[in-house]
Amino acid sequence: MLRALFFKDSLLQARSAEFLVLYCGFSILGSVIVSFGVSQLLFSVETLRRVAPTLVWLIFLFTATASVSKLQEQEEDLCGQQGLLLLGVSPVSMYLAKLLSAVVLLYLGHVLSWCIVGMLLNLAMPAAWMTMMAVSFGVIVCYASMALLLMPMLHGSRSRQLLFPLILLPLLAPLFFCAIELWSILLSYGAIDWEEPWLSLLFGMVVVYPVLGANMYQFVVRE
Amino acid sequence: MTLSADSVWKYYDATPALRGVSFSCSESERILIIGANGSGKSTLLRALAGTLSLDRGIVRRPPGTIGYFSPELFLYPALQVRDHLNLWRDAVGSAMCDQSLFQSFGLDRLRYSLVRDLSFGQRVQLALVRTFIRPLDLLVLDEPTTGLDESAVTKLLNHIRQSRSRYQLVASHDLQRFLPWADRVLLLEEGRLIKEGMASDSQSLTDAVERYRISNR
Repeated sequence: MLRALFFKDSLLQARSAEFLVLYCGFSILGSVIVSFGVSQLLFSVETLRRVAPTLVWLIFLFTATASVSKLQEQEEDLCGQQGLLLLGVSPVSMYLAKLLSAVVLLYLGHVLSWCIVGMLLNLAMPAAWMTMMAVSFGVIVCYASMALLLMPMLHGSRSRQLLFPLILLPLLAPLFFCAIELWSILLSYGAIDWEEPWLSLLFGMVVVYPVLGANMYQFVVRE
Repeated sequence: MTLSADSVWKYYDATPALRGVSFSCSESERILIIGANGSGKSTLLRALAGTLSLDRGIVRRPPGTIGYFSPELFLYPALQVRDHLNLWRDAVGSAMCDQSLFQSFGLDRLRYSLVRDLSFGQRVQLALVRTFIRPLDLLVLDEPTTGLDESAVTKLLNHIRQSRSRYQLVASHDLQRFLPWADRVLLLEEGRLIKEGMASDSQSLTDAVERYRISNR
């Protein structure tokens, strides 16, 4: 069932393309503008290397938050999700499938943004790029877990476009500090110590957020 | 085991949609729920189907599968008709899935159409396919004939008759078709159950139905 639901969610995003266009468009635009704003003409390579993680994660935070609500709009139009609940589909499966498809799309956009920033700022490919991508994956899983839980919660609220970032961003602030710190360590030293507190915090959040989301989702989608 | 509602109350904000509705439905009984717009028919059906939380009262449902049709349809506009069928087949299990429904409702030629490109009547038929796709114990239909043409209504009535569900409840304004089908009729007004009786033998119910029929014209 999980596979069928994942296929459905991917198909919905591919057919409407709203989320993809908005998210990728914002990512490219944000990356280009930010990169021109902090070019090598103004700052040294060392300074750019230090600020790059903050820039990349800020771009992700704002582009994802501005476009991720499109993932939920597909469910609200004609209430398709209710039809699946009536057939006995488990809300946990629905949530996990949605999480999986959201993570794939968000991850692709994030990689795109990182490539653009790296290219325009003339930063060399870091040695620990694989570890950085693994950290990104964990951060994006946590972000998508909370965003997918929060969006249906705000369904029906007239000011949800305003409420969504107002609630989500403070909630995920520790996650982004964690992402920026881990990326900075990797860019500076090329490796992370397993006892690094930020890494432990990320592991904790990667476990807690999706489990919390999967368990809470049923209360959110059922009236 | 009976299906029953016991002093059921439901509020939408401060407005009561159901005010202490109580009734029971015994096995093999077919119940028609009628009433003017806003009388609480849909809310009662949602409560019986288990898709609505109540403010007061209890709904007792026999265990088993529920087929619930709502005019909200519960479809994905950006998916094709066949995508829906594949998804429902996976949800129900291919062994339990009645694929002949698809042909009988004439949706076969629309297999590759997106739901957003279908007419309202065609969307209703697709939602009806979902309702009847598996063997049911409880069938709850809310205005199932809305938007359907003559032949689709006939097919629907055949499916309802052929359905082996033990409890059948329909809310409809189409009295001409559903009064002969029903064993019992419930008349709702402003969230209250004001009349209840056998579809054929109660004169007072017939009078109430007639009054409702006239007011509905």
